[in-house]
Amino acid sequence: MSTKHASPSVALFVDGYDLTPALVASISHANENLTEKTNGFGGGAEGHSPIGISRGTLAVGDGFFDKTVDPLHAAKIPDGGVGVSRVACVFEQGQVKGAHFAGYRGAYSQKSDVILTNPNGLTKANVAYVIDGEVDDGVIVQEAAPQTADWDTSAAPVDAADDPTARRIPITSSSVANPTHIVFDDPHGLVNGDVIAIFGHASVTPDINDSPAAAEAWKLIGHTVTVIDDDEITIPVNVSDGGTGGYAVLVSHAGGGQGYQQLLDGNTFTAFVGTLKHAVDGSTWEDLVTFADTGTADHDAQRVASATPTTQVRRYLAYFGNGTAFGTTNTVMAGFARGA
Amino acid sequence: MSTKHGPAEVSVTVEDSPGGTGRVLDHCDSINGLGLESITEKANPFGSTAEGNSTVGVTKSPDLTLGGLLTTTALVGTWTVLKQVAGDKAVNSVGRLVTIVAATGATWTGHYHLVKTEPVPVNDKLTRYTALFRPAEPFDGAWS
Repeated sequence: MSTKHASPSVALFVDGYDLTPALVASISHANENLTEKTNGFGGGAEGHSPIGISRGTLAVGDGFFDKTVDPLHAAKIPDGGVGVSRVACVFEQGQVKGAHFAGYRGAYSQKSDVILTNPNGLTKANVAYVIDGEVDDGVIVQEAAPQTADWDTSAAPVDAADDPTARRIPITSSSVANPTHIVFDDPHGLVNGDVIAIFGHASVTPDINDSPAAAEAWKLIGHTVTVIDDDEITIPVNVSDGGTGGYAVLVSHAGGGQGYQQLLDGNTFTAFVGTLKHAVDGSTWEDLVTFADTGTADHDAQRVASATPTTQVRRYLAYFGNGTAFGTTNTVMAGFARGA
Repeated sequence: MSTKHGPAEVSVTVEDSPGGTGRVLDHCDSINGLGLESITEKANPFGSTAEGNSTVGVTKSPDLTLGGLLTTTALVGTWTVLKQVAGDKAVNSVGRLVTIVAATGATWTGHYHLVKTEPVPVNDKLTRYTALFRPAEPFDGAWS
């Protein structure tokens, strides 16, 4: 059965403010890959090629305009107005750990149209944003929820293997060899050092799937890849009986990424530091992204990159929140967008 | 008696990444841009009494737009398949093979670049998507 989504799952956080209640009609966002017509003389068909640049867009339609609280025109957001860089997160799959969201850095409000209706209608507004930089595809690690004391999500981390939208690379076979050769039906797109988890691979000894009955070294951790060619890799396992079928999911890649944190209610805090951590095995945690102390801010949003663009981002992600002077309504959302 | 066709015969298959695995989308309810146009040029000279056109030997296909409900089903969900990946904007990308069965006996295939996939949440409704594809170079779109 397909997994659909609807308007109750939609949310928009901008600079630590939840603007969702102000959205009446629609919100649209996209990341357009720019192309150029490239067919030359002698060709029989017009064709295009990507130029390696993308353009992000974000627009809100028919949002409520209120001069006092004015979320779309920044009166609610101090020091706002056209031209101010913002950190925005758009959700359409709900506030659920593991769900995807679109993250923007530098969303400047560019064009806002106030819509004056008849005397019986509320005043609304359309706002279009210019995006500076990449649009990130992130995964929620800490869903927006009130917290009352220091906490962390390490007991139930986000596992990259559990993402239903992750690409599943079909496997043809595994060889009797040490290390074993994995052949795929299609180009795998993996690089040396990637870590994959294997599922549904049948009749193989030892069981190289992600959750074998035996306490294998790769259980719930995965296999490190060495690339042979576009369709074949090796993993460091001595296979004595080759298998067939199943698929592989990429769970760790040296591509760095971007951490997002939206402090939606920092009331009462005198200090708050959030940290995204990662782990190979879901138990030994290392810092991935540390957000700046938000101090006494009621609202705050940050987009922070991993240490380097080639940081090996591990399979499991968790969020750790440490604050001083918790109240009853302090609310934080955090997520991470893995790099390519 | 003429042989008619209806929506029950229609299916859309898209590779889940450039050069990846073809997946039959679990929801698509609008398709625009199928077909091949032969480019022509007005060619009637002075002295002629009627305007005329000649083909130039080059064809073109419009951008292909798919639309439907946004789903996150493993393998075949529309967001699962059509979520943009780095390979979609790589300069030397081969594009994604798109196969559309418009009717029994009328199948369109071709390599396209996935330009953008736009989620479209609307208040009080299920969230939809719109995906825009552009013919790749060299373009191999054809009917079979």
